[in-house]
Amino acid sequence: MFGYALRRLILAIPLLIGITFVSFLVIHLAPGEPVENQSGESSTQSDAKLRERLREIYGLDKPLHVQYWNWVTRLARLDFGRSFSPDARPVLQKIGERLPITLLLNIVELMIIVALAIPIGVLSATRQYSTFDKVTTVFVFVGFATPDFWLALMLMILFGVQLGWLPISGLRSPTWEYLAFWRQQWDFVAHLALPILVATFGGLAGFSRYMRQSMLEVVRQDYIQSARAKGLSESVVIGKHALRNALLPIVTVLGLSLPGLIGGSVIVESIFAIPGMGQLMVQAVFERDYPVIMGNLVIVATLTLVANLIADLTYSLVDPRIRVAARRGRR
Amino acid sequence: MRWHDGQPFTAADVIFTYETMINPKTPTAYGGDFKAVESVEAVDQYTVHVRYKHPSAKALQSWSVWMLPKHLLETAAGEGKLREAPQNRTNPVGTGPYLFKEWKSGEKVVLVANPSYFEGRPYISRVVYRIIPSSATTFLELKAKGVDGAKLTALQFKRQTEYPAFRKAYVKYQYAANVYVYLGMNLRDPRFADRRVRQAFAHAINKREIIDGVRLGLAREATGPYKPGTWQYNPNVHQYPYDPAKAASLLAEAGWNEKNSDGILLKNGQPFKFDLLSAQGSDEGRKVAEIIQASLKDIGVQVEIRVIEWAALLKEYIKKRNFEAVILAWGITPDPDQYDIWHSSKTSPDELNRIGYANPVVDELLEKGRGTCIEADRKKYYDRLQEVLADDQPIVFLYFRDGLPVVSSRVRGIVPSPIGINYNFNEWFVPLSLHRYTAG
Repeated sequence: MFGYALRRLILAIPLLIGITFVSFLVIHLAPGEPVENQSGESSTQSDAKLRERLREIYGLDKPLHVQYWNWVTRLARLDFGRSFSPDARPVLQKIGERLPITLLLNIVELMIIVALAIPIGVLSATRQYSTFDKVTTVFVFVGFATPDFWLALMLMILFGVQLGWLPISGLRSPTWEYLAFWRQQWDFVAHLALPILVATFGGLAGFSRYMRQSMLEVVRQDYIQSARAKGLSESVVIGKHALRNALLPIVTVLGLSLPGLIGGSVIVESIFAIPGMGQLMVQAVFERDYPVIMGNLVIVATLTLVANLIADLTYSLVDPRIRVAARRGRR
Repeated sequence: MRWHDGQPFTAADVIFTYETMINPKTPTAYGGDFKAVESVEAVDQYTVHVRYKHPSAKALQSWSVWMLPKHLLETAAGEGKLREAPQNRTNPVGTGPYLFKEWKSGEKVVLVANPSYFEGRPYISRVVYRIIPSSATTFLELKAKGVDGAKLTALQFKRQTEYPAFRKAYVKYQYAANVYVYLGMNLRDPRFADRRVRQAFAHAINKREIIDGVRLGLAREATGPYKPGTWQYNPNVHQYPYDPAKAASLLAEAGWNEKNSDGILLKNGQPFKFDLLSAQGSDEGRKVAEIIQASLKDIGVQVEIRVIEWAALLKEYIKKRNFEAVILAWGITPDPDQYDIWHSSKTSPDELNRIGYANPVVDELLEKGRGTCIEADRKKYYDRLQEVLADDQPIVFLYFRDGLPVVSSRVRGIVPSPIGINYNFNEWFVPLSLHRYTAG
């Protein structure tokens, strides 16, 4: 088990280097360059020398392979560099201040999705073609098909403008620091309510359909038949024997959604004015802020690889057959 | 006058700012103005004498840059690390009416009143600038009274805010912003090098229709590169009223006098068609391009619109001068000097005369205009400059966009002016009975 994990980790290193190389190449091949936004391009005041100076500061005057080498050697010392945007702050600091809110939003969202999707999936499967199944199917597909931004605006109009129950955007009220402690917490939760609702509604469909499908397959298996023949109650058959096996594919899907946790949703973040990772990345791309883009990519790529590994390891934990197969394969 | 940290603001700070601006280690777009300076000396603690090699009209404007506090930034500037100085982010120090309190990246900036501001403490104690990327969200925040001021889009200004509750809660303002939108043509292209073709386009494009269609009437027709209502603006220049027949005859004069079976004009067998570029994300630019496309089709010119992402548009098309025509906007300064845009020496890739305009008369007027400080003389040069530009139509001047701010009606003391409303922010106030936020 340990040896297997170690081998996977070592294999991940060349993969990671490959990923960074390709993304470095792609982002530098995109036309446009970062110096434009700082040299007063749309105003009558501009200075050609300044642009050369900025290219020099950023090292953009060197050939691409030299730039990549410089970047990698700095990265090896865990130096992600400084942002090209006018604030010139360290990339890690910029990512660091954006990451917590995105993580919080996405983890809460994922937990709600899983908590709702598993019962919905199980119930739809065990009562296939019942009214419940049909209603939830319609509901989750409506959720899947509804554009995020539209739903967000509708909810803002209803809860923010018409009813006045919830704040419309941002993370905290302007008077936040003058509120009492518990009012502060409530204020924060109220601000997160709509974004989480919107994100959850859209993500529910996928998970609950996976769950339903996987459950449908399992309940047709012979061992479920024999469990029933043993005279076990239906709740034990479904809840214990069937559910455990039906959860297997869900583990994979969950594992794959881990990197998404730090990516952030651009649409939800922009419309609710939440300063998260999604906004940071999109802004960085428009500004051609290479250090921020690359820093972000490295972190997401690393997490994807780690998440894959975790999913595989969990797999072998929950499914004895894979453990055995892995051992045989090594021999 | 004192810095926000209590240190006196003195001539030494002014000289430090100057030295930082001309320091080759400082990356700034404003260094050029200071290179014309011959000498700077502090006469006493609060007086600075500046000598120029030649008379320079922009001298005064160029000194209204942000002054830098010497006692805080001297080391960073000397090392060429001004951008990395911690003052930039955690504790910026200036001399203005508001003190920096907090900046949460992508979320908000908080300012508080400076009690020792030299014109007296501003009335509004605390200002929170929120960063809301979506204009739809901003608008909903206004409706829910979550914010006290914002900028409206033309559609919101005209169609979505005219109901009683909104008019009671907010006051809308309107002024000509310092931005004009234009149709630029690459003058290196022989078709556009012919002045008659450009004049024909000016006649073929209905500016009123564009203003009404794109800005719902919230813009002013541009006749040149200066804003109507400013001292440098010359209203008596050649105008190009909408006149397709005149446009057609001008094009015929220029040799475009046959049409092919599709109704496209021909010259030496070549149809008159070109690509019109516009920046992605600018809905306005795309709509202007579409109206121009329809107008030019009426006189037999075929236009293909290409919408390109901004950074790519600049680098691959504009800088490489690899374009036929483009919809862009210029931001203008209070001073009329526009040497960098129109002078024939400013055409290299990183410079701003992108269309490749070269007219010796214009060059001379630009040089004279910036070379004197006597406003009456400058007025003469710039009046003439506007006449020549109007005749030449190096670009088709379209319109000056209106700025459309809206502020809560609780806020009093706002005096609208041609430059907008923010200039006297420190005199704005909220009557006690209308206070909504009391803390702080």
